[in-house]
Amino acid sequence: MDNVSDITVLLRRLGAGEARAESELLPLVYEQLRELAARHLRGERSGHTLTPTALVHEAYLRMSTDASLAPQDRRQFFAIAARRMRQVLVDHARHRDAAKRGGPQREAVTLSALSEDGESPLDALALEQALSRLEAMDARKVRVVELRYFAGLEMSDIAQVLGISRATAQRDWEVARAFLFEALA
Amino acid sequence: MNDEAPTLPAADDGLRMLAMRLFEQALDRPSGERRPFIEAETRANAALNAAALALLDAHAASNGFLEPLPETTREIGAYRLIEPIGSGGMGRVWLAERRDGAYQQRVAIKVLASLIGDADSMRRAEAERQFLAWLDHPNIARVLDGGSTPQGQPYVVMEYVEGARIDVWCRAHQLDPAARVRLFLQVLEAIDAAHRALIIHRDIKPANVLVTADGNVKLLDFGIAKTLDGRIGGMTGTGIAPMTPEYASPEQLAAQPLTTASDIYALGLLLYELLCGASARPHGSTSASERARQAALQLPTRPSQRIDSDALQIAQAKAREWRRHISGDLDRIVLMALAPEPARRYESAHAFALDLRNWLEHRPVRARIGGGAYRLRKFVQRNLLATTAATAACVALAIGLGVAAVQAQRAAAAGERALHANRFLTNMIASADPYYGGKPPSLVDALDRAVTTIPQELAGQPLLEADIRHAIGRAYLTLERNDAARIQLDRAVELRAADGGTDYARMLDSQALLEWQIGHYENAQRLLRLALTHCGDDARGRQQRAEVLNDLSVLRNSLGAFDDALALARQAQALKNSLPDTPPRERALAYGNVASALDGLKRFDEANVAYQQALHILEGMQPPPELDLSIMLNNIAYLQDETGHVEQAIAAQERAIALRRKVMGPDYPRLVVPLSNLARQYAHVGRHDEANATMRDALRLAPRAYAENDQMLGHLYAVAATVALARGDKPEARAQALRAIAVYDRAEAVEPGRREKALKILHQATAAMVDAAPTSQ
Repeated sequence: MDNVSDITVLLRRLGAGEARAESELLPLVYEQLRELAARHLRGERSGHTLTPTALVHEAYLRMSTDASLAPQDRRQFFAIAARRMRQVLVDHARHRDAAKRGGPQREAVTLSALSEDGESPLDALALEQALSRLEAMDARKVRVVELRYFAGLEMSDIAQVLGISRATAQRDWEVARAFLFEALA
Repeated sequence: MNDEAPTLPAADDGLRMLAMRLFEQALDRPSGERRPFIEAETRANAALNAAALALLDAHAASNGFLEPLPETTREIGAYRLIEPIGSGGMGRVWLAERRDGAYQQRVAIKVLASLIGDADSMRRAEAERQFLAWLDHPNIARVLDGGSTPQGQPYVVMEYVEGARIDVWCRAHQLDPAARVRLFLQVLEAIDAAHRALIIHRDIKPANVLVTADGNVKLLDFGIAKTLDGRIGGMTGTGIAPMTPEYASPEQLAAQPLTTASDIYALGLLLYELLCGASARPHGSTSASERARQAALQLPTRPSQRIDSDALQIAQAKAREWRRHISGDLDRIVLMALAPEPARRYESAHAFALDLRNWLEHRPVRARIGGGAYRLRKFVQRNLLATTAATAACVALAIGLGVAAVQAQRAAAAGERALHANRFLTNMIASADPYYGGKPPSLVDALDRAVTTIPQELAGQPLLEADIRHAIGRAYLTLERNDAARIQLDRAVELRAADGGTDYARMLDSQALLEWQIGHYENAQRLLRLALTHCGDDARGRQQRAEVLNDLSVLRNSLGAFDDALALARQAQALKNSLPDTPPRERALAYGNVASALDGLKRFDEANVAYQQALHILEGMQPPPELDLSIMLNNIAYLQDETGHVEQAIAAQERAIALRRKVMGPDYPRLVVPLSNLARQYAHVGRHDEANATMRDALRLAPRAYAENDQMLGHLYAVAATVALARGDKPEARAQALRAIAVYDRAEAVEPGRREKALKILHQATAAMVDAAPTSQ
């Protein structure tokens, strides 16, 4: 209950330029995403694939009922949610692995963005490991990946969030994607 | 980060970094030169060569990797896509037909393809669909269906209009000015219908106005344009940058809140263009701000002076005829619609149409009569309460709807529809305000409107209806719209009464809060006790019971029944402790309520211990729960004041107020109590100026905080009297004491001793006045 209220207030404060609000927002957004993911995983029907982007959007819908949030605040939200979504996926994958070891697979749901016919879902943990390595080399590229892959933002929005040109965002994305592709191959 | 996954080959990260930089440089080159570039740069280093080339290969292979699913589907919902018939910033529009062939119907489906990732657009698309479903007008393309693709792209299914752009149609049919005006009247009728349904179009332009073969105007593209404003315009200040600057009003260009007057302006531009073939605005490369400046400063040239015979495809001689025909009244009508100040334009599309009819029938036109006739749009007066409470109410509603969603999932059969209805409501709140940018009042409007649609949206789902009404009721409660809250909560309780149980208890609890808020303490207690009997024995039921006990404890406390309050608070605390995952905040508040009751019983040492435990828990939380901290500090200040530690009390109180103002704004009505406490404490230590100023602040906010018969108002006046007496202002003290007593006499329940205290101050002040004025008796 208070999470939601805090998030609204914090987004406004962030919008008003208060940098500290971001660090306060992170755990709240994480919590919200985790709850949503958990609820979906419990409730959705078997075989349904849930995209991280859809989760982030749902989180946004649930948390941003205030129409007066400015677009930059919206973008901020997505920037924050993207980072937390990454964490949610990793936690989820770990949890799933743990559950697998514990006995019969109890999950019917795959939480993955890659579920095209025939293709195996992306290994969230391997991706996370590759992202961590990339982060050590070039943190901004990881931000771009988060915004694109975990929050589904358009390149122009990503550029605005990060304060870089669209061309630079696109370049970062291509480089990061090649890096990750190679790392996960 | 993960010790379970196999370790990747021990990579030399230095080498990797070099390889990545090299690869990045290679990307700056044309694709054919990239490999030679890397080869040349890495001639001396085989490892670097391999690493960089691996990245280059990966780059070629990774196209589409980690990207949202490509749009491969040719089927959406019940429809098969036939061919794209348009595209643009808003995504793609497809011609489509029903898949099941149930009946021959061609539709246009707008897929917001480029908007994956924009929750806002999904919400707006849904809102548009809902709004337009209600807006059934022959001149507006009907919305038939909508939803999201499995990939999460929102789409809207619309009536497929086979027609030509209005300007093209006019030219093809060689319409003269009067015929154009008559056709334009259909546009006005459509917009008027939309405005009366509180929808503004925002993107009126020739491309969005089609004319069918039989001469019927059909307006397209309601609402979706506004979805895209913030994304495309780049004027992110208010999120209302126009989609099509050439057809934007001055206020739109200035990124100010839009009203129906913006549509009137765009209609003026459209008519201008229909009449003379030229745009009222020079197109061109000037910036939006420059265009806004120009548009705000001047009226366009009269359309009769801008006749463009080439664009209109009419002969020169004909053009002269047109000029005569248009100049004068029709010029004036168009320019009235194009007034830079919204208030000087026609106040409605209907009024615009009436004046055009005047012209068609050779009657005097209003545009000539001039200025006095227009009406200034009156905006809703907002008070500060509405502003600050709106945020809180949004939150209350979000929580309520969250609960409703959980309910819906529990009722698996009805879940799908229920969730849809639920989301609809959420959408409603976000986008119902046609005057987007007007901020807080929109919430009230949205709630009011949502309420009217519940019967049809939730027909046959009484439990869900109860939950949603409950959520809305709570939101009204937060906005202190008590009457509206009562209607919703009563209905919710009624719907839940038959089933009873924890959910019923939850609603009774809310009803009690309403009674409490309006000062009916007896009713509130009765409802809370009734709620206790309905809480279930499962974890959720016990949690609810703890909440009700908590509320009851606070209520009894406020009525001075501290023994009761303590017992109830301890019960609530024990229950919370028995539940597995009681969050820290809950534990802190339980301590706080125990402390408050102990304080009331004057068991100060125990109270202080409990308060410090609560404060300790709250201060350990990240991020700091500012509101809770401020309340706890306020109570601590109170205790320290009572035990004679006034300087500590002042320090705690100042901190409490600063926190509260930070979160809720400087004029939050509930600051009254902490402010009055602080004033009293300042007075106690002789800081009379601060006391006086702080008290004035509290009294200023009081009317927004309390009803006339609320005992709290009496307490406040009593404090004001004390503060005044302390600095020797006896007349003021006497006046405030009298006001306090008057409130107590009206109030339904008064804490024991309060009235007596006020009387005592009155006597002191009066006695002192008598002493000080020996001549009066």
